[in-house]
Amino acid sequence: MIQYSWLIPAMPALAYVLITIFTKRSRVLSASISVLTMTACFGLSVGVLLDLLKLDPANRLVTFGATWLQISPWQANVGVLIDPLSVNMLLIVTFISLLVQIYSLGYMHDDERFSTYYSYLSLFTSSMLLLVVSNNYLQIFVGWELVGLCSYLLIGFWYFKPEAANAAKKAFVVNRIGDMGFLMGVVTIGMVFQTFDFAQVKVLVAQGLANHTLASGYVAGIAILLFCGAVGKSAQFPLHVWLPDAMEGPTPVSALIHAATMVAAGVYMVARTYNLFSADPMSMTIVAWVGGFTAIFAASIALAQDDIKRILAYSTLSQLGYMIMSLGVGGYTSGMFHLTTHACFKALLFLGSGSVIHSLHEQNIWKMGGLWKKMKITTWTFAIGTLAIAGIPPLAGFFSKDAILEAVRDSTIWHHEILYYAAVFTAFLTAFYMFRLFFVVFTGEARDKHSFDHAHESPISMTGPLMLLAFLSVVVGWLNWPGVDAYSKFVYYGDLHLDGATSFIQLLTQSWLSIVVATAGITLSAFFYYWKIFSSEKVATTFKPLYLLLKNKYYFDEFYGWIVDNILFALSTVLKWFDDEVVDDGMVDGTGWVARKMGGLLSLTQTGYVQNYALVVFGAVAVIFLLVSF
Amino acid sequence: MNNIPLVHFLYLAAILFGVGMFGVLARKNAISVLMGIELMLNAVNINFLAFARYWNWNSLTGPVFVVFVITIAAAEAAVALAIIISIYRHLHTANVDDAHFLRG
Amino acid sequence: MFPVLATILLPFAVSFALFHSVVQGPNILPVLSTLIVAPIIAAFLVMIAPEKYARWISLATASFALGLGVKLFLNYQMGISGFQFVEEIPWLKNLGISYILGVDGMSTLMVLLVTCVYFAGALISWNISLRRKEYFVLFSLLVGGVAGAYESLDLFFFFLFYEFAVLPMYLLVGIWGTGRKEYAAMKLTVYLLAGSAFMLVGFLAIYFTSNIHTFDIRALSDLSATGLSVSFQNTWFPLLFVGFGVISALFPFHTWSPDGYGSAPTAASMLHAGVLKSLGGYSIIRVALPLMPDGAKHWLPYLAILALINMLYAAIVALKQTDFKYVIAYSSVSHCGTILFGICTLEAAGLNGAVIQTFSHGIVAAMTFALVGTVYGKAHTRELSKLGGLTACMPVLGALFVAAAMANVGLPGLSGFVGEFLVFLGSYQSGFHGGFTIFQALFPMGVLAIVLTAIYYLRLVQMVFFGPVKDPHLKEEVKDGSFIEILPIAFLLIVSLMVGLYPKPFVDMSNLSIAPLIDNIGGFK
Repeated sequence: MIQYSWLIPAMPALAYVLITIFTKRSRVLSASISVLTMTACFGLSVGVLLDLLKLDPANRLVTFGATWLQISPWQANVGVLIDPLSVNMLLIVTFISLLVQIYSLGYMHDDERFSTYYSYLSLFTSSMLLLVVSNNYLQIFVGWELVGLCSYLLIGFWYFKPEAANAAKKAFVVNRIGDMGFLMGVVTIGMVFQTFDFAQVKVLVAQGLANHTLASGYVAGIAILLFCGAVGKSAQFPLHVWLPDAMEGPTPVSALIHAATMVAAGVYMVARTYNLFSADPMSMTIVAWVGGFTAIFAASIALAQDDIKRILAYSTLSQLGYMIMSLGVGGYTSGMFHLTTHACFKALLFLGSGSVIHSLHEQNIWKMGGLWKKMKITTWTFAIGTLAIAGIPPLAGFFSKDAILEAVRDSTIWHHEILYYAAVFTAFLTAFYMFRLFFVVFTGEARDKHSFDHAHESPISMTGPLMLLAFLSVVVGWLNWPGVDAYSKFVYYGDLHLDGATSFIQLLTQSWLSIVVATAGITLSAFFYYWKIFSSEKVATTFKPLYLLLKNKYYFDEFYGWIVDNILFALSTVLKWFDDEVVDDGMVDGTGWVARKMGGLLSLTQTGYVQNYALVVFGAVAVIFLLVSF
Repeated sequence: MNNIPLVHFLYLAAILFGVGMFGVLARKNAISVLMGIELMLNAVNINFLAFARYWNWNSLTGPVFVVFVITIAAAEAAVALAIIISIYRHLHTANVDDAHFLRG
Repeated sequence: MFPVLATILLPFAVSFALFHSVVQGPNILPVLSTLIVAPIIAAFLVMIAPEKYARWISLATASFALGLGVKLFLNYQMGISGFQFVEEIPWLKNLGISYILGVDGMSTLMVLLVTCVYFAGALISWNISLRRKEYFVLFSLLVGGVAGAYESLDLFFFFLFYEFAVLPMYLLVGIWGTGRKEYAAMKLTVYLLAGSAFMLVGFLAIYFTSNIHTFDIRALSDLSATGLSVSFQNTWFPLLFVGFGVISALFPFHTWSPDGYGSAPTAASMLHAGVLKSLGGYSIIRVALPLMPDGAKHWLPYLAILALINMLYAAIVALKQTDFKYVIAYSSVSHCGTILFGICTLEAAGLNGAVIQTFSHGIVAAMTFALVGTVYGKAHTRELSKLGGLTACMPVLGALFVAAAMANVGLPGLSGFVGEFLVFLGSYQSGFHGGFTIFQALFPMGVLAIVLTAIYYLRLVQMVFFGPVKDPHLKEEVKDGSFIEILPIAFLLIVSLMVGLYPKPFVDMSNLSIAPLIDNIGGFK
């Protein structure tokens, strides 16, 4: 099966072309092409996984490719690299994409650009898979940019909404800023190693570091340039601003692109190029601190948001921060494991919120309430997702988040103890704001009677994926059941490293702190929003400046907006003035003006009187004659 | 005729040329200007013939030039008169100062 | 629709067959001359034929030329560098002027570009109604001139053909243009002629100074034969560079470009931005670098700054434009900066990047101008503040415009990325090897351009195609592009996709010219 793995990105691309050119008019055909292709891709990915498992654990790496362009000394390839890491991503992407496409059958049913929507989804999945299977730095950048394009198209899918158009533009531009660093990193790699191939670069870095022909600081520089790309794509601080706005897109898109897969590409890229990052503690420290800071920063913002999707978006930011931090502190496996579990439960949460939005046509949580009476399946699955993200054992989130906390605690990077407490506190915040969301939306009394009366459970095409994801959100974590450690034995970097616990009980005792903070978060949230013993309004008025700061997301949008308006656009105005007035009117038209004036002066000699001319002629002859004769 | 010195012919030509030039530069009537030009051309013709006669009568260069000048003068007069008539029809005058369309 | 397809496909097939037999067999049909003469013959045919056939003749010739261009590309012998399909007729032997045509890898690409844009231009001019006959005559003549300039291997004929192309452009802008068309036509022509005056002076200086008195580029490229001294090169290289640079809208000689394109009719802006403008960068590689390598090494690091200003300055100015077409025009200036920057790196990657970027810019700019022209023809305004939400009434054109914007932005998968990436690689390489740390400083600033480009193009997409429909009349009256309007744009998009998805044949082709050139010059090392 592995030799056919190149079909995995190729098939959805073909589906995109087919839908765009031939089946735009037929909703049924478009959707079925897209869904069937994705089923085939998922099947193929499973086949690839099974093939890979047959190989010896030490040699689980298959790669092949073809030349894409060649200028000596470079040869850029388009190729496939299959190893546990990419298979892990292949499975996540194809599976979530499949579920989201099925879910969208119901969610997007009334949209008149249904076929276009499916073509975009196919294109996205294809680009994402191209990124995932890439065996070189250039191809991963290509896939990287293409998923950016699809993200742009899908965020702006409802292009007639000004907010959506704005958000799409913002997402693309902010990503581009990060990509600038990424591109420079790729070019630098090409320059230094004369190749873009992951495997070759890995060997060359190891050799260079071993015989001191390559400074580790230099490698760290490259790693940090690459990391800029990850900061953009995975929406880490300070380029986090695009992700919450990206929620203007259709909700299934948010689930697929802006929760489960594309935003995780940054994490994947860091994991993929881990040999560059681990070469120098400096780059690792930066990665860990950016991730850790984003985790707590985004979680704090999520406390004060009112839009159901934005809360989830900030939660995504925060969880991505966890993953990045985990990679930064050396927890390669735990980071990727959290990526996997997060893909399941965050997709579940987003699709659940989509189900709510589909039924209410409302995104403000303060206009919802009591939905459990009307939407049983959505409520139950959402509850499972919330418990999973809060890290309650034995759900998926518990295993992966705990692994990350352990990795941070045991790491040796600069001030890792601060990171550790921040991470623990983030876990508390996560439990709190997620249950705030859950309690406000699903429990209590309906706040908006009118929309509540119209609320209904979603069709089976939507609840089906929800139930499947809920099931996975419970069991995916069990891959790393203490003593079994199937995931850790599959995806790891360097030597196999297992955390100590050998039984579930032992794991529970080891990680009592994370269970305690999660439970505390949930309880506190229940005090506020379920039993309503404490009043959140009161807290908000008491700490008004803090509340406003959080509510306005630390004013980062305003700050960046100010920079764009007052620096970039001001510069543009000045230069436009310069171009119009100085270069064009001054220099260019000035030259013309001078020429015209000179002509005007000379034209005074043209009197139009024939005899004047004749006089000049004879006079000139006389003068010449005199000059010649003397 | 050999006893008339060359200089006399040259004087005559110079006077004719001067008269013609005066006509060209000073007369306002276009016909007079044209006549001035004819005079100047004929002055040149006299010079040609005189030099030819006194230096090398065997060479035909001088007389041939004169024949050409006369021919071209005739053609030129025809064209110039046509233009003058055209201007006269247009402006109802033959005064060259009134025809200054080309003033810059 | 069927007659259109028949007209396109039939000559295309015929030319394929014709060329195939010719190239395999004895040289009956001189391919390169045919490419020049065919449009000129078309011009005469249009002149004598009734008006209603004008566009058919033009389209048939264009598809014939496209067929030849594609065949030329396919039949080029990849193993061999140097010029192929050479035709040589002595003209003024005493003065060393000969009619020499020939193509190497780089000019094969350029000829292909010319034929592609010619074809698309003929289609986009389909609905010209004002003085249709004269329009197609001038249009065909323009193409003949441009094709000649790209194929000439003789400086004299190069110059001749270039001038031959500029003059129809003047009339095309002046008569069929919009807005301040007379002003724009005058400005554009005077600028281009001023650039060519620099060129001519440079050519004559080379001619008189070199030991071999000839205009033959092949002979002149051999520095040991011409014996041009270093001081001569140092004096004349910047002059020639600026002369060619004016054609490619080098800062500060770029202002003809926005005004000219703003006023020019669609097909004229397509041909100009796509083909004639690219001639500047092309001639630097073809003439300035091989003839004066030492001058190049001395001056290029400084000229790189100018090229970089082009990239960034034009991009920043484009941010605040209020006219749809002006944004595209400034974007074209910015992209030409990338081309010039690539040339300034004097590295194989950078120069190949410049060539690919030239090709890509030709295709993409033509596509973008075609789109703007079509949209303008429907909405009757180019004011950005009056447009908005056009996707609602023209979804296909909207989608194509997003694709065009992405190609301009340099999205991988479309042609723009390949060129830009290679230029960046080259610029870093330049800084990496030599003592010219200036490139190390310029490289990140160059990369900054990709962000700026994204900003102004997405702003454009948002203002024109996204958001609510600002003008309710538009929604009722305006229809999506017809088949004949979509066809040329889709065609150019496919070409761009071909380069973007599989650049290897194109890069290999351009490297056939670049690799020997770099070997000769030796880079900054």
